[in-house]
Amino acid sequence: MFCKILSLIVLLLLIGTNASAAAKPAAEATIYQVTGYAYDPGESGGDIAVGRVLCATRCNAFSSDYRNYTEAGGWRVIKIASDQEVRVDIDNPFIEGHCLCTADQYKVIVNSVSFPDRTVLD
Amino acid sequence: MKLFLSLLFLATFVLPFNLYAAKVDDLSPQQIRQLGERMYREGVLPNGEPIQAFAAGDIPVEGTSFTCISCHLRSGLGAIEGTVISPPATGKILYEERTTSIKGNEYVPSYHSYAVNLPPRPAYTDETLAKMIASGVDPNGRSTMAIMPRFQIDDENMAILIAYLKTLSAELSVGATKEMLHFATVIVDGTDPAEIESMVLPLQFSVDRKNSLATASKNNDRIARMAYNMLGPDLLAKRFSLERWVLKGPSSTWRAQLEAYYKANPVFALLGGISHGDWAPVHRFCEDKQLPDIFPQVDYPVLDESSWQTIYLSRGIRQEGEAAARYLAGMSELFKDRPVIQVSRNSRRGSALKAGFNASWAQKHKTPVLDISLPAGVALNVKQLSKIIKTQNPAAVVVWDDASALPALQKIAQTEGWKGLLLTSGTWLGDKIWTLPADMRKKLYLTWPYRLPHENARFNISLKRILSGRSLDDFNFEVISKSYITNEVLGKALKDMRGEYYRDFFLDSIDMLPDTYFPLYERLSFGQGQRFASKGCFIVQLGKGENPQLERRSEWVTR
Ligand code: HEC
Repeated sequence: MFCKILSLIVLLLLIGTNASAAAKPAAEATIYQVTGYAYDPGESGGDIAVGRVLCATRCNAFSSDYRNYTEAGGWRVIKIASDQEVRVDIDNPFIEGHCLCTADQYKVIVNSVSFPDRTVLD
Repeated sequence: MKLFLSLLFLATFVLPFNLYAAKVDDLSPQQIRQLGERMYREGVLPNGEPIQAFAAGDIPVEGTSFTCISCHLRSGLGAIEGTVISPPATGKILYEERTTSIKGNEYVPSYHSYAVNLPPRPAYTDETLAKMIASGVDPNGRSTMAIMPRFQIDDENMAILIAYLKTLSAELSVGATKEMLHFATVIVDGTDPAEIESMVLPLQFSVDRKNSLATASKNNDRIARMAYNMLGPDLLAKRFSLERWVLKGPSSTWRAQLEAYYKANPVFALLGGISHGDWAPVHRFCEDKQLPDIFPQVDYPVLDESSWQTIYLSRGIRQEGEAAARYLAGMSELFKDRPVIQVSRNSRRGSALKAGFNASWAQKHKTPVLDISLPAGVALNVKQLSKIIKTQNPAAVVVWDDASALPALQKIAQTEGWKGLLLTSGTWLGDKIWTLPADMRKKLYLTWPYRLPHENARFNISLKRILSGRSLDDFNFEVISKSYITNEVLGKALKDMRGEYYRDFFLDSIDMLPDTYFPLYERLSFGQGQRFASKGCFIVQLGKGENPQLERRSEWVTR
């Protein structure tokens, strides 16, 4: 009886905790927080100034908002490297080349200490 | 010298020479409300002149920018946490002593932080209150001028302002009683039943849970203690009710239906609601009754900036069009003199996207967009459009249509010699978004007003908590997510309200919430009078492979 009522409390939406369970294979993910950007035209001869502007958007797009992980509950975001240079395609019809995003690298892991039932990233 | 100045100041104060001055005793309650409200909300005196205010003691500032409402909020109940920190300025609370704890609520977070963050003081009287507002000295003799400006208001007008403060949040709003909080949700008849269920289920779930908890805590001390510490005795004991107000027939008849529902059960607030078509009559009804509506799920919200009562999740369908324009504007220097072509389906959805695009584009650009309208039932004519593309060489082609346009878009993307950006609405493609042929994925850009699905998946665990064991697949994912958000925001706001169930305070409490990360939207943000919580949209492309993911090509583009 008490157990039932207890689960009732745990589930109570108004209290809004993040505890829950899932059972799928374990996983990890890597995410980036971008701190800088540059444009590398390579052989394309693309305009540097223009490329730089587009790479600002492209690198921001590459960045993850870590609160999207931590706020969901049950995951920890751990910094594993600072100022990594990550090369991504500029993905734009007006210009070719690559963007060099400077990014801090994070590992997202299941927070199995507080959430022993949780084993997967999604 | 200083003494002289202040004497002069006093003299102007005392001189009873104000043509517009009205004696508070001669005014009707409505007049007091009207004149007082104007001072409180707009910083304007009854004679139409701005109130003179002094910040940090003696720096003259316009009372019209330092309005009482901007700090003490519309309800006058202030905010202790969040972006604004200010104490209540309502007569009821000012004329009570403030102590370091609130009896019976010592350990309830919202009451506790209220009691410990605001200094104790004796009850105000009319005199000490007038002194406080005019000179920034509270009844303890403490100066409050570090944040609170002082206001130069003569005695007559001060009396009106004080009379107004006494009416602020003085009577509990209807729909809130000692035992109950009544809610309703508005459903437009004809909406897909699966969507209705997905909208109602989370709301009903939390109402039921709340009521079971109220009962359980009555019978079980241990539960009572646990729940008490989170909710406080008042909220804990309250029961909730949720009515479904189904609107039938043409929208011109909704008003009468709403009036009838409301007369039978004047609820405290509306929660959610659903309509893929009209919503304006419900919006207007809420404004007229001063009835809050939290997150109705509608495609076409009313975009009136001066409305107060309805908080929408976003600006609706239109927001994708706005984001598309801003994304293109960011690279428009590359367009040289090449035009933008916009092809839109002549339907409510197509028109909303087009209107959003055009409005947003016009903010930055004078260059016109070449608009092509697709009448209902007429397919996109590839030949014609290709010809236009060849002659105009547009920098971008924006197409607002459903998935039936995909084969045409595929051909257009391959128009010989054309290098430009092809953009469409990701949500309008529905499930077809996942089946875009490989050769289109690099070429087609899509608006996406939500968090990317693969990054959202981890929030599913939160959603599953409210499904009572059923599968998420049984529900409309977007609808149930939005309803889940409604619940969470309702819970957070109620917990912050310290038992003060005033509709304006309910809305103020939501406005003061920090940015939040819930399922579905990348980010929701609130703010005083802000009525569209999700302000952004991504521009994405579909990635490679058999189980492709959406890939961001932009940040969360905001208005
Ligand atoms: C810039 C923000 C701001 C504005 C504008 C403002 N206030 Fe305040 N007010 C505060 C803050 C902050 C306090 C608490 C100061 C303290 O206790 O140190 C306060 C305190 C008060 C108090 C005393 C509350 C108490 O419990 O002692 C009253 C009454 C009050 N304000 C009324 C008004 C009125 C009326 C107006 C408009 C004419 C107004 N305020 C405009 C921020 C503001």
